[in-house]
Amino acid sequence: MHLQIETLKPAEHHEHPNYVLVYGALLALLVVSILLGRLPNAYAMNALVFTVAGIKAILVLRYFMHVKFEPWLVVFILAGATFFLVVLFIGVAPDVVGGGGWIRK
Amino acid sequence: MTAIAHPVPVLRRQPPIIPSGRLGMWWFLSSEIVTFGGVVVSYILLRLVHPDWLHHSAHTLLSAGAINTVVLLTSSLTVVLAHRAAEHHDCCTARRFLSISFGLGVMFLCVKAFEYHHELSHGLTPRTAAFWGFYYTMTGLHGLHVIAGLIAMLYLILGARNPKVLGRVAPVGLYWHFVDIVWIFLFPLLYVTAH
Amino acid sequence: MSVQAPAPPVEPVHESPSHHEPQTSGFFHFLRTYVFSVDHKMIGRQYLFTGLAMALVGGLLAYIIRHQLAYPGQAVLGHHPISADNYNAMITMHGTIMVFWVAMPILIGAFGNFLIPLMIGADDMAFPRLNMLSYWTFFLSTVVLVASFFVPGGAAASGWTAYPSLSVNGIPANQLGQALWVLAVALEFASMLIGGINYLTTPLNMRVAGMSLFRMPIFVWMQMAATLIFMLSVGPLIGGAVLLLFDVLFQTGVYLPDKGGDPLLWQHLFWFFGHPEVYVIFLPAIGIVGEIIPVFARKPLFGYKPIVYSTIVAGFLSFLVWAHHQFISGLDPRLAMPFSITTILISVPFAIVLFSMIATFWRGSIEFTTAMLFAIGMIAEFLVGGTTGIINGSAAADIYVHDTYYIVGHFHYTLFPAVFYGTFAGLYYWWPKMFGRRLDERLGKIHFWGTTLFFNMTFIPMLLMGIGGHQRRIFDPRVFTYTAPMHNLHLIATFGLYGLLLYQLPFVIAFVKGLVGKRTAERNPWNAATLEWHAPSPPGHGNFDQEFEVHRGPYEYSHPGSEKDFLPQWLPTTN
Repeated sequence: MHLQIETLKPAEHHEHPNYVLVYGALLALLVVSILLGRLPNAYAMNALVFTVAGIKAILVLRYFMHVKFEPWLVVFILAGATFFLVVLFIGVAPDVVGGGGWIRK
Repeated sequence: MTAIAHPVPVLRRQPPIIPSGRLGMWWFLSSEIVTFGGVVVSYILLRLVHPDWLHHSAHTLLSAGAINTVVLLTSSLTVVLAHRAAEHHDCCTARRFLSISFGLGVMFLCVKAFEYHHELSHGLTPRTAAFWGFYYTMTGLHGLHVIAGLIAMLYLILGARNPKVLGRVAPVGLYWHFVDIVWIFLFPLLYVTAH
Repeated sequence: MSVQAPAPPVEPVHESPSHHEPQTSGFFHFLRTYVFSVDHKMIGRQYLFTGLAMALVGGLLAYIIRHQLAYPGQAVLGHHPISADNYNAMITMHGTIMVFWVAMPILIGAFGNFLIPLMIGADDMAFPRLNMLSYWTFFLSTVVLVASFFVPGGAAASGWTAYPSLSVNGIPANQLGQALWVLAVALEFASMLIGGINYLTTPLNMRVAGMSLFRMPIFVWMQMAATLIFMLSVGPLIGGAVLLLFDVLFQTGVYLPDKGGDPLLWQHLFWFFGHPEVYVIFLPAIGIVGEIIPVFARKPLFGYKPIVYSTIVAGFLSFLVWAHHQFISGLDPRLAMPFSITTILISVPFAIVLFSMIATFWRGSIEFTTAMLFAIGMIAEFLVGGTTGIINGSAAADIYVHDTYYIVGHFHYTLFPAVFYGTFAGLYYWWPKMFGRRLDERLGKIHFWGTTLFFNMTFIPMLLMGIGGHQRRIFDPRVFTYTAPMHNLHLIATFGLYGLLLYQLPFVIAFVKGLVGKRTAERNPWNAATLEWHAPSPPGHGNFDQEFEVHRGPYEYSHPGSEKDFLPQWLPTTN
């Protein structure tokens, strides 16, 4: 004997942001990042280019992937994954980048 | 279709938090973040102690990378438009937008293939230097994910008349946007800051 | 544009997805039911049998290793004596197999798949076909791994940790075996990731009405925590493994110092995953124990919510301790203190979990079934392992014991109870539900006491050897003046292993007996309160045959004021 299943569906969000506007912003930011790539100062260039990349990613997340409209659980999952990546970087950097604690003459 | 009086017993469920297709995809994407992120972190760490890698990374084709970025961003737009159409149960529009995304994805792979051909014919293989090991790993893994996404899109395009299939546009869309986001970071990493 | 109703719509009543079209016989029906099944119970059984088969392989490897250590240079099992390179391959594959091909498929793949839907009142997992894909990817990984034994150069021999440069070009003949090792492990990771999507989505979305999150059995919480830990920690290693493969195949130089690479990078990537991995193994096991103890003590689980919160905290902390595996491998000394602190700190939430389980016994009415014996044994042995871990966690003390047999003793005192006592406890407990028969309790008791006696006989000498300074991964201890005198301890340990392996025979007999013969087990032979005992033994397609809802928590045993001995979750409240 099999059973039948009945579920309550959560209300689907119906707001749809202006996707073409977001797309335009993404293209503009792409041009900006290519131009920033020509800066002579390496630190400034890297910092700015990756900041722009971060902004683009957040735009895609919030609007295309609807994170703006999803429950907090999704942000929690994404923040967790990103946090642990940062932990990985901080934990490994002294060894690989920092010379491993060896004093160099 | 509403619930009807039924002689067969019914098991009622707690309401889901997010529909399962999307929730499952978010869990999967969280693991993908640390997968790609792990390679990127490793690359950044080694790159910081190897400024000489600039000689190698200068050989990546900025124009090809930029074209691919535009291609992927556009395909993301068409995917989300397909998602909106799918939500309104408009299978023809959804199918049209998904086909455009599919075509753009194929274009991405063609540009990538051109780049690989260019680099390999110049003798820039994983054997040449660690930078190229990272380059092929990152772009290769990304490319495999693009292929997987294209297969998923093909399934959606072919089955769009079926409402169950149409309901799967959302999770596939999430996956595709993620693939786009990875490229959003790979582009500056391997192309813009590399020259 | 369609108009949407304002109230949340009720999804149309639909058939449970595991209802197949009628197809009564034939080759394809056989394939669909037993081989390419999407039913979580069948997939769980597939994982169980594959995992147990690999346990036999791992056990055989342990036998060969210990034989060599007790009788160096003597012929093993009628064949020629093993060489040093063979020995290294044995220890590598023993560790690899036990962690990835025994612990994970059984504790998560088998028990997780079988029990999660049943415990929450669901008819199957959220994504049954993905579930099937996960098993067959795992099966493929098993084939690749076993194949690596038979290729020229043999199986990987650089330790289950595969540190470069040894794993890259240290043993030139071994490169094919090493490459296959990387491929097999990568496939296994992929299979667990795919399966993990189910283990996380199903409990969140498919609980039966009335089952709030804090009415779920602790086993489900533990599976979810283990899965989340796995999914967030394995990624960097997957990337790192691809880079290792490039190094092996193309000498790319990511990890090779003479090419500008850094071998420590691999260690970090490996242990960033490797440490959370041990909790991925431990948590399902303690979840099994947490289900068994309340039933056979006839008392609610003590501290259910603190256990849940502690598990979450411990899961979080587990990502911050990894470098304690690297204290003596050239790690930056500035990292020693922070990682020591986090490592000692993580013992606090785990202590809360363990002692809550123990507190459940207090004033209980204890029945010493085999499942209960293994559950108690798991906690007792694990406490030994955990306590030895505190010494290892402090960098200053670890300098002396690291890479000695003390560490080998430590991780066997944690992993063996988790994997084997946990598995046996779970099998003796859930066998009636899985197969409709009971495992022989008398054989089970012999199995338990033999296992416990000989397990301790095998590993206590190792703790002693380690304190005495005996390094691990040594092929012939006779060649060193300070390890040669400890040969007696090696002999005791080897005899212990012989006894341990011998006393698995009662289990093998009980196992075979438990698969044949009439299905005589009742629905709820242990009078337990959780939902899986409401389904038939074994459950059919769709699992449940009656309508029900959940009315209370999962451990209402000996409820004060209640006439009944226990109040199952599905029983409606009378008033």
